[in-house]
Amino acid sequence: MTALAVQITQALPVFEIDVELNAPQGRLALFGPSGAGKTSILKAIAGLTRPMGGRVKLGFAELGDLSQGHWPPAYLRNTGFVFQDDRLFPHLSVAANISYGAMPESADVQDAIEMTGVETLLHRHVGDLSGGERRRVAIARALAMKPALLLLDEPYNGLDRRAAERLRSDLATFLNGSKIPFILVTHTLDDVLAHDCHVALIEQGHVAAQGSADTIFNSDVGERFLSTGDAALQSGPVTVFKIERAQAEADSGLLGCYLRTEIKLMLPHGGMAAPGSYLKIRASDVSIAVTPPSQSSILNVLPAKIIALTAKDEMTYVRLDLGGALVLTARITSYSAAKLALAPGQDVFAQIKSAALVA
Amino acid sequence: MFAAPTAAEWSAILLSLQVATAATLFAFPIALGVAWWLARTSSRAKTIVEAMVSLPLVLPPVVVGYGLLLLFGRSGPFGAWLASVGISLPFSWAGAVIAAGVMGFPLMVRAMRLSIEAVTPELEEAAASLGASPWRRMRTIVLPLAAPGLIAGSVLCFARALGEFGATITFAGNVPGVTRTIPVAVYTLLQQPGGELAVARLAVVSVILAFAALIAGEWLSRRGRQRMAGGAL
Repeated sequence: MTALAVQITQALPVFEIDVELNAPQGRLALFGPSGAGKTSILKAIAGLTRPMGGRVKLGFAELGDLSQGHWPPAYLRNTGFVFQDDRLFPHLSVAANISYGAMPESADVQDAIEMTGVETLLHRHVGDLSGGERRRVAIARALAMKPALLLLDEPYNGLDRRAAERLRSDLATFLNGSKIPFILVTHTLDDVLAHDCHVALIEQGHVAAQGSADTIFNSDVGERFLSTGDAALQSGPVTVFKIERAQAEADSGLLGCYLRTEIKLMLPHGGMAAPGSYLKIRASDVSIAVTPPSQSSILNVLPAKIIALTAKDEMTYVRLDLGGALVLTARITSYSAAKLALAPGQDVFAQIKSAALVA
Repeated sequence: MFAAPTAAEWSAILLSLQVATAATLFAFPIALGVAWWLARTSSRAKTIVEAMVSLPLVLPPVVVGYGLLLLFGRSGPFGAWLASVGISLPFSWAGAVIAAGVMGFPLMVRAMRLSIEAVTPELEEAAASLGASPWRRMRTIVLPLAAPGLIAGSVLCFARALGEFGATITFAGNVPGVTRTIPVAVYTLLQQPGGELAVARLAVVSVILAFAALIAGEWLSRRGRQRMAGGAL
């Protein structure tokens, strides 16, 4: 694996970008609201813009270092860029688009075509493709050049839900199994969780936090990112846990998923959860009881300690410590919070109604 | 009335086609360079260059011809230098070509510039990210996508050059077989008694040539729009 280190400073009209990113495995997701400067960071890394200060290091290779006056233009960098708006060449066939950046006669073109599943589109005209097909061709084109670094700008955005999910599952499977270093820009949590990568939370051109997905999204900053902005609009506040171990339970037919500290959650046997995949729990699916509930349909009841309460309109968000540095967010009505007289430090029980497995 | 054109008329028709073709070929590279610069620059000089390029479009053609005489006449700045190497442009075939080219130039630049501007810089960025040098981007992305506009601009310039009169007669004169193009021939024939039939024949030829050029231009620009929309060609 090739370590990726990026440092960019650049003045934008509204704010300044000043980031230092480190992804030891060379796989990085830039997560944050729209307009946070993520795309500008990608463009600088690609050499499409010349920032005030910048350094991009991939393994031992220096893609650019402005302090040495070394900032090669995009065409000398070998960074594959998948643009949000595809940017296919309208006068070329699908096949000619894909092979545009590839070495003549190279096998990389065929590999890229197979990976993206665009075999049947090769002789079609670019204007006749659907949104999902266009995006796959754009990805194939970037892969066919055998990039040293792949830059993906919201690759699942603007597609209908099914197309987006299929593409995400295909590309994430491919990238997770390949050695290609990549930077993924997204404002969708599921995109980040589908890829096995380092995460940097980007806000107003700055890195709010960076680290592994489960650490980041269990931190206060991560929680704030998930409860505000675009991410919250999509799914409401969520908590993300990494599954350490999973096994089918013979008696219930459910799947027992173990989180970091031997905390077990029972899940419907939908998809087999591989260790290392993520579990996403919506705050709206978590309720609180002050005494251990007895007669209830809810399987997952975890003892917890209240860290903090935040009232927002008629709802109150409760941060719960599950032990072992695992933090869960619950969303209850402010009325219930008052009725139960919830207070920080109090021992309660978190009831999790349902949880979603991600990738 | 529609007897075959006489030898003198054929000479005017052929000369017109030759002069217009030469003028278009001569203007093409310069117009492409200027159009490219205008489409991509953010320089302050842009407005002034734009106005200068459009000047022949709004000036009386005779004034343009007079201006060419001043520049390329024996005592003009370029004329004196050309004379020193034995070249004289006024009242020559090359003079007719220059007059026609200058008058068609603004139309050519305009059409070319619009078509180059229509090729979004985003596509060039995409090509750059795929390893294409500036030269390869121009060759494989911008020029092919702008080609219909470049051709349409050339057709307009050609049609304008076919009809050029004022600048031509002022700068290049009215020399049969050398600078007497269709419009100049029509003017000459109208001065003579009994020239009406010949005028009518030349007028019909003019209409046919201009019409053919415009149809070709329209067809090419439609083809270009389809191409930009990514439709089948």
